[in-house]
Amino acid sequence: MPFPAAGGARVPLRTAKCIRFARHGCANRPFYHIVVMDKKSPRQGHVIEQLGTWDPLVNAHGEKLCSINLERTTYWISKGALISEGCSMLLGLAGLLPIHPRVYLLAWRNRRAAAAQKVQEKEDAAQVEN
Amino acid sequence: MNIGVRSNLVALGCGARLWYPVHEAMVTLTGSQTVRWIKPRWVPVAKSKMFRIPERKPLPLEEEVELRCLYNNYYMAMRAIRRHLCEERLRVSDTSELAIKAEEEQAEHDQLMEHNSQENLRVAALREARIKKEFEADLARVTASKEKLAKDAEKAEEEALRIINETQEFVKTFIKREDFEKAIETALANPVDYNFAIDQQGNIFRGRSTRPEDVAEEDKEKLLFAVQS
Amino acid sequence: MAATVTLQVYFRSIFFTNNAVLRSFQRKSWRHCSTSVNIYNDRDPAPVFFSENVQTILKKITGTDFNKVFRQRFDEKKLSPPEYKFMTDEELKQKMKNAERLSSKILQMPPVLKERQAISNILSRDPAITGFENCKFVFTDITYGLPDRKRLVVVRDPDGTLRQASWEEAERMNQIYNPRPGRKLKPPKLFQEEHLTNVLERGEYEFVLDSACAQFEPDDPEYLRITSVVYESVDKKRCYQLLHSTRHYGPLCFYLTWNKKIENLLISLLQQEKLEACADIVRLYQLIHTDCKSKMINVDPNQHLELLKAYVEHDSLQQQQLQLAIQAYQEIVRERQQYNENVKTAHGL
Repeated sequence: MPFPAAGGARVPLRTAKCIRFARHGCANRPFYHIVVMDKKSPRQGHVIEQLGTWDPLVNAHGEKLCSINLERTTYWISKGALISEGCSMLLGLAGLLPIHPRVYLLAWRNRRAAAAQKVQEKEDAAQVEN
Repeated sequence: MNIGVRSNLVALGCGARLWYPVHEAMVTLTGSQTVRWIKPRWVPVAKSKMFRIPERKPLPLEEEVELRCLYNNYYMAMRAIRRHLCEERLRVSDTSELAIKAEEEQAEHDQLMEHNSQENLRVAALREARIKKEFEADLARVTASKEKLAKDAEKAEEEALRIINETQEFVKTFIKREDFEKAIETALANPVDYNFAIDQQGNIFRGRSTRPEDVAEEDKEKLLFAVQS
Repeated sequence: MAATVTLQVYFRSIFFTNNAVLRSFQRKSWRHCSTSVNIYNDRDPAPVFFSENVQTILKKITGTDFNKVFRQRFDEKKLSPPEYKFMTDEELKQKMKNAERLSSKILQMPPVLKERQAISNILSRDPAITGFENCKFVFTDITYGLPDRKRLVVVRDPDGTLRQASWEEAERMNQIYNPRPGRKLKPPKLFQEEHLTNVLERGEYEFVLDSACAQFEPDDPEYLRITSVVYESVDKKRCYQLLHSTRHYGPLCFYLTWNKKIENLLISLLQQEKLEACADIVRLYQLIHTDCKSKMINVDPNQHLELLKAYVEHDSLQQQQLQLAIQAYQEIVRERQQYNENVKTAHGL
């Protein structure tokens, strides 16, 4: 590794910082670090600080795990770090920030799709009966 | 296994040969073949797709209104939260545990500095006393050595006087020029025989021709350091 | 309200499982009949357990048999060959002092606590996000320097409820993000009923207790269940000596005294002629059950036998057996005295 995943990047003072994901899994197994980075640096670039982890695959108990260093996250937010959409959705679900509108959007679309599928199934069943 | 045989360019299913390789099949030594069905990065957009603009699904009106409302609320809330967190940070940074700890640390540091200065004073007093003592000791040593030097000089003077006196005494026995002839004559008149012999008992017999029988028993001269055997 | 209902259900489930244990015990051997597992759930034992008098008594009766305390254990630590040394008396004294200090560290008793309350702290409800995902989201605060118990673990359920994680979830998260040595993410099969009975029949009490200590928190209901099952088994088989001078002897005595089951313990101690330990246990009984009858009668606490007799007369549930044991003990003592006197007279002293 050319630099540690946990952080230590040196950036100029007034650069825009961003809280976002850095992918650390392998092929077909995503795993992300929640990190603070220079906004213009690439996804796998040098990290200023690691704030947590995010495992998007469901575990054996039916859970998705996320760990957040709340103290540092609030510090960086108060310092004016931008938050990527995925991260703000996560932080919203965690209860630190208000829930992101995109979560509502996806939720109602999913609900609508589920309802539509149910209706479709019913119609199919009626057709089969007829 | 990167060692493998590259197959020839493979044509697309339609039968036309492309001018770039759509895929390169790698046949490894183990016999398995990996295929990467992907356009290489350096290949530009196809001519037929050059000016195609992907169609954007229109958002239903009610959804749009709802979303706009939600986003407005979200951004407002975020701004408020950010400001709140910032204020909190500033507030906490003055009277937080850290600040209190820093204060305590400062107090401790002051105390330590006080202790240090007192220690310095104590050590300085000790040092002064020591230096004074050493100075006095030096003085005493110098006076002692002076006295000793004076005594030595006195002694040396006495010694010189004594030597002068002795020499003056000795000078009286010197033979003067006018008495020279007379002294020669007396020397010639009184020859001195320095020869002597020693017997086994350590007796000394003066003279070249003296015989042991000639000397009386009580007049016999003994060697000063006779060997005690 | 919902919380209390779930709690009740939980307790009932524990009760039922215990009955299941009971039945399996009965099926397997007649010695395990009439086992009832008591868990500290009506009165909080912690203030009593941590009070100074009780601690001193427990430490005293635990005993420090150095051969047992410092025996070789197979705990994945590298063994070192024994070392023989010539020492002066002072050095030996110093070494003994060090050994005592170390043994007091090794013999530190696991705390006896009341069963913990289930967490049901709902932080917010947001039914508008149902359907976003069909799985739970678990968020763990990994702020540096937080103790595990204070670590905030939060769960977002699929129906949009944000709640504090239950003890089990929180412990799992702690083990994932801040693993402890000796603790497994999934409790070992050892603690399941069928395996546990098997292991206990083999008499590996200390192993079970040590593993339970490593795996569970001391106020975990599972820990309380396992320890009480083990203590009951020890009491049934009367092999208290196996746990003597280990760190589990104090809690064992405390458990038995708390549940008023000290008769067998007293009898076995009397058979080993440890009268002082008996008196200590009776004193412990009086400290725990402050309203017992034998406390009303003022007996000189230095008269061990008198204290024991007072307990037998007023509080004991098995008077006859205990009295028989006391008589046997007195008989043995008298015979030994007689024998010594006879030997003395034979020697003409």
